[in-house]
Amino acid sequence: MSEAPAAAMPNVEDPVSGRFWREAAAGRLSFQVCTECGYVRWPPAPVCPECLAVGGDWKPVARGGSVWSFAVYERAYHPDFAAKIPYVVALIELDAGPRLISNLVAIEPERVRCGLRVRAVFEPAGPEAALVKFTPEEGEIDE
Amino acid sequence: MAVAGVGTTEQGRLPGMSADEIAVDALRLALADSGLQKADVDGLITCKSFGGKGVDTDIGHLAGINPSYSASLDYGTCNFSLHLAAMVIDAGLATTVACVYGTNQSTAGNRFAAPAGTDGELTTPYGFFNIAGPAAMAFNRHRHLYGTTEEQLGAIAVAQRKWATLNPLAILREPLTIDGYLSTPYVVRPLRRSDICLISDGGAALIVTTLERAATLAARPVRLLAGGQVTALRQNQLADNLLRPWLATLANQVYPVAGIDREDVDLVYIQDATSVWVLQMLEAFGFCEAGEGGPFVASGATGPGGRLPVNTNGGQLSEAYMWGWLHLCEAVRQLRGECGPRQVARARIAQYCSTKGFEKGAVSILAAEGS
Repeated sequence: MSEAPAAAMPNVEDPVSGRFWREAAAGRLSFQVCTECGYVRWPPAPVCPECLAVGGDWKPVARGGSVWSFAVYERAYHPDFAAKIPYVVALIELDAGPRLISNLVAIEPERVRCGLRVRAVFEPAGPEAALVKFTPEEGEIDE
Repeated sequence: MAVAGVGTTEQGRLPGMSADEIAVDALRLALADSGLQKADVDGLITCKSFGGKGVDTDIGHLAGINPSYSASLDYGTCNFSLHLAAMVIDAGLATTVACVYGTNQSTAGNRFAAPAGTDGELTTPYGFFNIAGPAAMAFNRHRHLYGTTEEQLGAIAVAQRKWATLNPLAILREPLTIDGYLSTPYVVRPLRRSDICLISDGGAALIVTTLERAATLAARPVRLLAGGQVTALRQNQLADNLLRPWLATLANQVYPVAGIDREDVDLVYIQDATSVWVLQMLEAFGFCEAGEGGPFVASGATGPGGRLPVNTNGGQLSEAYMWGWLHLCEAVRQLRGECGPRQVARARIAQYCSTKGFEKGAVSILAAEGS
């Protein structure tokens, strides 16, 4: 366990996962799709965890999903997040298959619930990358 | 197989001692408990600790021993070390294995501001730090499915504190009431500080040998009736992984191997990185029905005087954070009848359950000799 984790910026240079952030910067939610079995892979890896085929093509997928569950951070474990508390981290089950850890935005923490339908949005993080965050689908939150 | 000795150092803050010095001190105490000399140890299994310490070759050197077999595990929970020791002995590689762990993570400044999963580079940009994050998610999912309340969750920390007040080794011994629990602020909602394990220095060690050899030694042997392990290395590629549904396979496997029924278990130990793990394990092993963990703990069943004593040392929430090692030491001491005011009467069989992240699980069944 390291005392000072990397700043809250994605690593666009990573040879395996950097592409994810660059695709997001271009407005695409993309994953490696196995050229042999079609499995949509997350986290990024050099090998398909279903059939062990090497490689895979990055392809955009549908941006919809639902909240499996969530946690509301009331404490900043890293100074980069001190101004953001309280913030919501959620495990999103995408309709396309992958389960992603991400943030919910444009929703009060008190209104988040398991099963909430959400849609990916892209938040720029540096010149080449964007974070993939999620916002409630229209009509999901009582106004 | 049997545990022939246990050793525990002071827990809390041990300034001026390195992690490996603390580990060797625990080894010295375990040897004294068993009546063995260090030269009798022909196997050494260590567990790496904060800062990359705890390597078997370093600890063996510091302890001045030349065991036939030595190895280090990258992670704790002690079940994995105990099972490896039993396998090493069973394979004829050693007869007497010392399992040793020491850490100075409190004085060395471990603040647990680490990524919450194994994909840190992918999740820290979203602020996903500390085990409290996935634990809060697991609890919120449990609440969504079963209506579990924060008061019920708090009953776990309250019960363990009651045990800790009876344990001189425990760091937190002042009483904790449910009102007191609910009045403290959230850390990662809905978890409060009392739901999350301590950060502390300390050491623990166990001596494992054959039952025959253990019977000739100073301490009353505690038999290892059965062990079981399961993995979920694909983690969140599996549905509902934060609820650890795969633990159920351990429950189906371990009681028949041990030759007991679940109802025979007198004491339960659950490695508690957070209180939520206790809720999960009680249900996974069938001590209560799925979804009934909340009412079960709120009934007081797991505290002193309850029908299923759980974590009678106070666990990592109140005793100390030793990556599960102290749970096993406490189980041994309870089965030997040495626990004074917190001793559970007629305790014959103990179960120790642990997890490594959201990717491994393990269980051991221990029995007082003669049971």
